[in-house]
Amino acid sequence: MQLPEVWSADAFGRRKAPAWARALIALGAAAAAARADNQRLVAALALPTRAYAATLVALGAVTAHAPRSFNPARPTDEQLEEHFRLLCGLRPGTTVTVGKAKLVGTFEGVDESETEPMLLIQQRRFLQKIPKGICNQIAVRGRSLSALLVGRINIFDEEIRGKDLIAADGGPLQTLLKVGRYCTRGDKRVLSDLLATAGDLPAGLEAAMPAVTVFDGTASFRHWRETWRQGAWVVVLDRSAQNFDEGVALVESEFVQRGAVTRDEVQLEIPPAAELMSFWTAR
Amino acid sequence: MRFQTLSEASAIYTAAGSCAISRRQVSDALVERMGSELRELMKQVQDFDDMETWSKPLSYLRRSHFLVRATPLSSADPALGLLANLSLAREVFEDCRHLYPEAVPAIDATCDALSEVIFSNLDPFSEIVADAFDGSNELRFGVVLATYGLDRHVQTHLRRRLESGDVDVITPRELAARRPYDVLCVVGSPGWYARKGWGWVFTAARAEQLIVVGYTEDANRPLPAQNAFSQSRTGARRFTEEPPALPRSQEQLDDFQGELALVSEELARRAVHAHPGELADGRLYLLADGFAAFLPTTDEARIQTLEPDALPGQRMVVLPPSDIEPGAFVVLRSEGGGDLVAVVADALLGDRASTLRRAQLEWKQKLREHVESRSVQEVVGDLKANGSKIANRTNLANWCSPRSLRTSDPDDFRAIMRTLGLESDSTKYWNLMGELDSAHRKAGFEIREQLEDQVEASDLSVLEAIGRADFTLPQGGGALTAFRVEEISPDTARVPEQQLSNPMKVIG
Repeated sequence: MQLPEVWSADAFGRRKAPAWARALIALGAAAAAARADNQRLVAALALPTRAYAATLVALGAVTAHAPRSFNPARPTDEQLEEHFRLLCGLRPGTTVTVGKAKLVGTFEGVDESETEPMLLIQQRRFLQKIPKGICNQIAVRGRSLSALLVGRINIFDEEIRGKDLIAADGGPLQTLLKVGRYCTRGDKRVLSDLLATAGDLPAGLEAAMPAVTVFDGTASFRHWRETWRQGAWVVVLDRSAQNFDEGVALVESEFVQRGAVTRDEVQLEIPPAAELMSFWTAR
Repeated sequence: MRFQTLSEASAIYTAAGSCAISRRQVSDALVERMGSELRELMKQVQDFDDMETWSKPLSYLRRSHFLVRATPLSSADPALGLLANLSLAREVFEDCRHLYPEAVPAIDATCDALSEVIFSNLDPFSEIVADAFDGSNELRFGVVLATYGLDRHVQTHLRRRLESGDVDVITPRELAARRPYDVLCVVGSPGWYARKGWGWVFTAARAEQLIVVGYTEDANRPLPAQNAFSQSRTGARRFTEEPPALPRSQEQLDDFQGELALVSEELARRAVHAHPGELADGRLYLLADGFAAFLPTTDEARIQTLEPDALPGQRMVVLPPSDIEPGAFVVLRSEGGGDLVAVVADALLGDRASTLRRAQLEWKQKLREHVESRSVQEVVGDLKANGSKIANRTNLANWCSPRSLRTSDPDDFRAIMRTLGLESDSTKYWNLMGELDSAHRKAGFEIREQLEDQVEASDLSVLEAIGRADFTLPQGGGALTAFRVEEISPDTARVPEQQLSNPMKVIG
């Protein structure tokens, strides 16, 4: 996989981004590419500064995981597998439609007691069980995203739309990240979006399904981790932040409650001066 | 948190990835003697099992011992306040002398040891810093302190001593916002920093050369663990540590945690002296730009906070005090003092306000007098007998406070009125307080609306940069200031009710 080249730009000209920045992009790409049935990856980074880390991880994630176009009529096995995994990760209560008639129901969970996992869809008068083989009949309303960045919007804004770190074509990182918040009506391809640590969930993100959620700091992780349990997580913790220890404790608590998982550790690149904890957890 | 450029971030990664940590230690017989006398006294006190009597005088001595070990200033420098601490300690030790005559020799020995330290004019850390500075020509040089409020004074002292303006003296919080130094002298035990959440001074160092400066037993304390997670891998090396030169001390006087409590106690004492009146529980919040404020401690209290990062219309958030953490922004009245909601509510009520406030004062006054004439326990018993389901010590204190207008449940309010002999006026008071409650709610909404407008029109980068921003409410609220919370005292103090939520300039 070809990772994007990014450049730092200042009064003296353009320079290739430093090793730590490239390592964070690679880590984001690896986190987005790591897949497992009913399991998702959690990676937590302790860094000497939060600057650009979440943005670069998201950049890697959008490179490795473009939201897929899914043809429900003739899915390939791989697409079916991917769609099933996406459905399994939905929040209970998410609105879905079933079949050509588009009967509206809600996703209730996964029944593991059968010979194969069955998706439980509550229809108006009955509970429907749907296996993987025909899960293409289920459609969700939500927007598929490669990455969701959760943190301080004003800081993301400078990193993503500023001229300090730029794409190879000289444009801001937005040209690669395609953040929904900054897209105009004409932009058809939205790859990522931003969510503020404080405040309510914006209507546009209510049904979003990010492949990777990147939490920038303890507060964002504390506030929003319950909402985004369907995809992989990358938690960026700045060692110099006042609430760093709390962030570590929250990650450790997720590790303790990760359930019985069988996957091997993913080989993620570790930036210099950084510490990384990664593990698989049940969806 | 502020935006950092890629080159600023790169400098931090470089420093953190290649930092070499060394130690420079001194020993001094007088400071050691003071430590051992203090330890001896504390050992004796433990056997008395009466910390209520002993904690205050001991804390003055422990703070003094800590300041001597943590500050590159002469021990006789008035900024350290050691003489004042010694005299306060001697004053409050009087009770201990009468109650525990067997401890008198240890008290005297400890006070004498502190006195000797003060009058010997010790300043060994400045020597060490000067040595390190001499070898650092053309390099960015800084000194990091774990003490509160002494950084400016120490900087003036060191710049004079080194005959150079090229030395910065900073706290870890300031260090986090600066670009890395070439050489940093960190004064005191690494453990002090770790316990305050500043272990990153070592694990994500902001200098390629870091020198721990301290008395032997402090400088030899272990550095914080490099790994924060239980199961993790690390990138390229973060720091190399020069091993301690001497075996680590088995026992250390751990007096850092008490510093903030002492600051809180001192400010509360001053507030009580300057504003005599009804007292209430308050907790000290150290705020940016050298300010501090006591905020109410009850969970029924609500503090206006500002989330600069939230979406427009959602930036003003009202939180109970227990939800406020360092780093949050609290909005306090910087002109006029007192409870902003009450002031705006009165403005909304116009002439009606005086009638309602009088009624509020009447029943609160009666309740307080009733509690004073009997006992808390008895009044709680009466309230229960008269139909209150939630009467207890805490709720009674809350009902006595001017900040609570009426109870949530009418049955509790009736029980209070019955207990005070005001049963026939119960409905009247309930309705009047309801009117006031409704005005308070409207006022809260008004303030949020006006503040939102102000915040929208303001440049919040100032708030991020210096931790403070001023606002003026056009419709009767006066001047307000949003302050970043720097630290929160673990202890509560009794302060004048009217001083709660009132920002005070305490440094500079």
